[in-house]
Amino acid sequence: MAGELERRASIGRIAAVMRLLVRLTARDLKGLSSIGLNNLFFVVVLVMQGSRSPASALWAASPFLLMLGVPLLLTMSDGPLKLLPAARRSLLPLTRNEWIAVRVLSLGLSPALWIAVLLLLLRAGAGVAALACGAVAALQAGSGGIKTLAATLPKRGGRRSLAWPRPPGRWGRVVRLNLL
Amino acid sequence: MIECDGLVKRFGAAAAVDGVSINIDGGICALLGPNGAGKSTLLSMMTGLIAPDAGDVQVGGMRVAAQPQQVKRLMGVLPEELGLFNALTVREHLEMIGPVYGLSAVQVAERADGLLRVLRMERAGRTRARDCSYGMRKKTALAMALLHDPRFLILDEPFEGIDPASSYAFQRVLEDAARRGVTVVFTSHLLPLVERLATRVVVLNRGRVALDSATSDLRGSLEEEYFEVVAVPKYEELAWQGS
Repeated sequence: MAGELERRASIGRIAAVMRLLVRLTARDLKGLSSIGLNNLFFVVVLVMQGSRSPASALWAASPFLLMLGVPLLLTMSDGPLKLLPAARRSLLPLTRNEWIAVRVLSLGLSPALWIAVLLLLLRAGAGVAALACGAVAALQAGSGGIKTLAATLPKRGGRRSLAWPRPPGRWGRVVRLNLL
Repeated sequence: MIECDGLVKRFGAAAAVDGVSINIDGGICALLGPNGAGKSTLLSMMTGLIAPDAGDVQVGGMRVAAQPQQVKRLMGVLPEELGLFNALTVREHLEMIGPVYGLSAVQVAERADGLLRVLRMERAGRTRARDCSYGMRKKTALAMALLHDPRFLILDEPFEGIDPASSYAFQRVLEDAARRGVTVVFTSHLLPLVERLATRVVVLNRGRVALDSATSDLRGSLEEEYFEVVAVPKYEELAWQGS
């Protein structure tokens, strides 16, 4: 019974934050500021549009997609959450899992994702568009999971870090300086 | 009860808070001290906004580090940065935040009416935060802190920048809350106001507790005690003024 109540409360909190994000996104869209994206995103969009054949559009843009895909997807889909001021966001009583749910759900509010999905639908078909949406959702959930994991790491010098092994010797020094 | 045990927070080499241990059990506690004394940092550690480098905070019997979400549900916080949504109206701030704390639409509407009336903001209810004055923005953030009827109120300079009538009304709100068992902690530089309102004063200086006393136990006026433990103000004439 207590578990069921907590589950309902949790859904209520997620729904409340989503309602807030919908309202903020709607106001933001009126000013068109939410379309102000990373210029590299437009490079990829233009390369895909420039290709005459829909089948080759993805191939034409693939180097850019490979090079920029992950950071672009993260930048794009973090948009709606950026509408919450950091000071307020950190005060909201949501658990990490609730924040991960909000992150994933808020993807639907990203104008950048709407544009990307529209382009993919037109150029590469519904399957690829669905795959791209899945990738974005997985990345968001993954980044939330990594943050959760990072929060459990021990603190050293005020920062959380992994205790990497320190290779000894001259070659070990090169490894330490360049990789750790 | 808010229990701070040996709190330390460093920014680079400097310790903003250096081994602060205080227990606040009910009443209205004012945190005083010069700029940079560590007041806001201490409040941020109480609310879980920043993690201490050493020491521990418990609020209502829960460790802030272990149960931050549960602690946040018990707290109403006025952060230093206010944390408002520029695109929303004053009333929308309350309507949107209330459900996050489990309030129904009817409860939010009822409470919002009361808060806007008490803080003299009925007419500003439809004004967007970006168009509000600093005082109105602060009152909006204060209303958000009070909305869910928290057991602990943690307020960073709540009286600075708001008009005298609203300040008076808000002081009464805090006194009522304290009478109902709410623990209130606030920072301020307004010593006469603190002397009237607070039941306890904690003065921080260079990250350490320089004075911790019930207001009724102060030997002299708060101003005298404050200058005694912090520093006697010095005045030096600036030769270039009016030259």
